[in-house]
Amino acid sequence: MRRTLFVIALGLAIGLGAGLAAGWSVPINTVKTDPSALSAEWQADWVLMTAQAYSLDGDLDAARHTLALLGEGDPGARVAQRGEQAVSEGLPPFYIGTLARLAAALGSRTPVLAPYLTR
Amino acid sequence: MTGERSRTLVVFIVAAAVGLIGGLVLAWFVSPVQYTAVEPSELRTEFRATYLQLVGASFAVENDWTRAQFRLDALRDPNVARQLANVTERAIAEGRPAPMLRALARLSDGRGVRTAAMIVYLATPVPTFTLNQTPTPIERPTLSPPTPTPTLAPTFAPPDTPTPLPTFTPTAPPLPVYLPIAQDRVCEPGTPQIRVVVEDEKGEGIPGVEVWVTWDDGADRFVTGLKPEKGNGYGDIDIQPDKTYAVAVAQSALPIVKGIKTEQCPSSDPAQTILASWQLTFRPVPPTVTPTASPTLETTATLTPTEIMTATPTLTVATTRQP
Repeated sequence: MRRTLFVIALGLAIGLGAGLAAGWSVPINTVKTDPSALSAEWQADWVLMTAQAYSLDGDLDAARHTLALLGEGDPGARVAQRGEQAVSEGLPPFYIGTLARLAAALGSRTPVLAPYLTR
Repeated sequence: MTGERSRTLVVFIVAAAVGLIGGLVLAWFVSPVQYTAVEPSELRTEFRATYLQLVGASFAVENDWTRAQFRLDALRDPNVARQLANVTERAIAEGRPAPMLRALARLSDGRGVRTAAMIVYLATPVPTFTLNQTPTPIERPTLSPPTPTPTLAPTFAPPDTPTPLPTFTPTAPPLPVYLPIAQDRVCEPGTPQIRVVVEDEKGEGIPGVEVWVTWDDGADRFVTGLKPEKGNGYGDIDIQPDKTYAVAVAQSALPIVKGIKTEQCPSSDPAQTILASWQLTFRPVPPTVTPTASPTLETTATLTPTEIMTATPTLTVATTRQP
């Protein structure tokens, strides 16, 4: 009897392990997620688009909420960092200006972005 | 003995099969894979709506169709047009800014879904002309050649790359030295400004050029191109009536134009005080030109027949050479 129980437990364990491995290797369904799981490139794009939306509507609360979806952390610093990245990438000044102004509105000013604040 | 071994084997196979099915159910339905560092296609429905609204806002600013389509395609959703239409209608109901609504409507229409609420935002805007009752005379002193070429209409060309983060490999051209080619006094209501236009040799605006403006007890800087609607090479800064300003362009350590002050414009209405703005146009020095040190140009304005202004602006030009 004990031997039979052992065989059943062993079979279940091996089968379960194989099933999980196979199921996770070949998913037929994935958990949809939130923006904090986006890759770094898409998060950077999210920040840029948020700044551009802010340049249109001037709604700082909405911008703050949209940035908060990317996870914890200082949203102003995140935008400023994206702005400095945009400077190094050579993006058009108008793009950088939207990032600089949103960063400043969120309380984050950097020397690199200061010239882009004029509007 | 053999029968017992066979029975044990059967029990094991049955147990393993049950375990396998249980594992697959767990992996596929109870605790499915959750990826990190994902693309927008993995966003939940409520976040897709936010994403679509951001794409619309960005399209309103960038006006880059290719880039907007790339962002929409990243959702990998055959019903993205329908979702876009829903987001557009909700944005219209919420009274979002008109440029954003126009952009969302254009994107949705471009994807083949047009609703009644969108139609007004899809109509081509008819230009409206406003009669300018107070003409704004522009005084243009004649400086030494080259003659300034009329600034082209702003052609804002954001990078047309299909990637969300266009990579840009900067090359290191020699830093140009800029010289003023025109200094125009602009009389129009509003806060007086120093307006700078930086052009290349062909007269096309150069964005991203840093401009320093200094005065007795302060300094500020800006870059050109922040207002593409006024030209890629345009930038401005408000000035105070009681201060004297100097302007340096690009990497110039010394001011290129000094002694800029606003002054009162002549006005037919004594009750209305208009302070002049100054528009400075710069172009790079051709490599063959050897600038002389700190020349001082005295320029006398050539006046237009109807708008007589008696100003004779003094333009002090100090050139610097970059190593």
